[in-house]
Amino acid sequence: MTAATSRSTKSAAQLEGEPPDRALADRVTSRRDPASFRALYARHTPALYAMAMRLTGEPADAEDAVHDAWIRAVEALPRFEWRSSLRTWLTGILLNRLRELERHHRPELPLDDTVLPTDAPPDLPHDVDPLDLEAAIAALPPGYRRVLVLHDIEGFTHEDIAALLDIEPGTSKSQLSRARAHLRRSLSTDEREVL
Amino acid sequence: MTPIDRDPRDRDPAARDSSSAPGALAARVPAHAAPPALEQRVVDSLARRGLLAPSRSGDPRRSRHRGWRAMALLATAAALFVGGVFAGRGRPPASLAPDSTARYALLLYGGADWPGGDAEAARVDEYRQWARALAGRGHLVTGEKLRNDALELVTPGAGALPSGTGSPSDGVLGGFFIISASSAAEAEAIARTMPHLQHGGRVVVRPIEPT
Repeated sequence: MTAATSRSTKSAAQLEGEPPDRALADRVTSRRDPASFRALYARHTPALYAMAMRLTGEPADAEDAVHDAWIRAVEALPRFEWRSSLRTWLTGILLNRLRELERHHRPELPLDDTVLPTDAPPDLPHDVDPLDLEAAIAALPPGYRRVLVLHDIEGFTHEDIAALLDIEPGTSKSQLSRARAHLRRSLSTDEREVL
Repeated sequence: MTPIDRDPRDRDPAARDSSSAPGALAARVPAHAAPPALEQRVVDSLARRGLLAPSRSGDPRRSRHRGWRAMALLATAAALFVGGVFAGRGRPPASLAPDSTARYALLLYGGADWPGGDAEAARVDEYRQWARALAGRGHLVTGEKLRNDALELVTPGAGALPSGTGSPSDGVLGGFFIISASSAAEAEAIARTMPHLQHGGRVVVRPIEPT
């Protein structure tokens, strides 16, 4: 089972016949309906948790962050204006929570705004072990890791990432370029022995 | 914040085929499944805050099976009591087996000492190949080889005892894997494929209790 096939994230087409996010969210806010919340949870948590795992590398931290993000999201749901998808909004809440948790662990380096060329693809060897790739991603500095995970794994564009992280799109591009360079160097010299 | 209208995963899949496109690495990293217990934890937290109505039956998907599960647990308890033995010694107790994807620790003990040099590299590669195959099937969460040196902490204030002489052949924990499996039987089946067993080692399978 590949990562892509194992993700339970459903596309819009797959969601046909199921209540849309907005209808479920309305039932959560107006009736405090647990079943509607569980439906939203089941729909969005797999992607949120996977992203939290890739950004923290620690199951306990990822679990706490997703838990806290859902609490904040339900608290704020009556004020959500639906100008973005619910998934994107939830991702923003989760990222905020993760950044708060990161600040407790280590100070964050300021983002480097120098714009680098970003047309280059990740350009990683095709035979990289998925576990080694994930370990190399986890070892990236937090700012680089965040942009790389959001862009190269979660599929957000630089404009999305700029909105989510409250940075300029150019900053997102340069961070991605630097993250990919880090990753290439790490994977070409990585002699770690992972059992 | 700039409005974002679409879920990134709903975009044209063909756009992801380009290696510089968003999501280019999505298929190349291992999957991560949220712990099943997290859902109830979130629901309980929301209910305590008054954001959800109290749920009498809990997860409706589970409640359908609750009666049968209770009967099964009672039957297992009765069998253990009447028999007076620890049924199923050597394998995870069946009563602990979850009915959804759960996590298990595979603890590696014993086995011949690591040979060093090329032979050790070959053995590491053998374990890595096994882990890679497991990850490919979505079962591997993590795994590490532990060094033999250790620091043992005992009573607070009593200091630390360096215990650097242990080795896996002395019964010291030599490494571990955390796997996900749909049942204790599946976890056991996975553990039986562990190359560590071919090297004379022991693999202890323990269910991870959600907390």
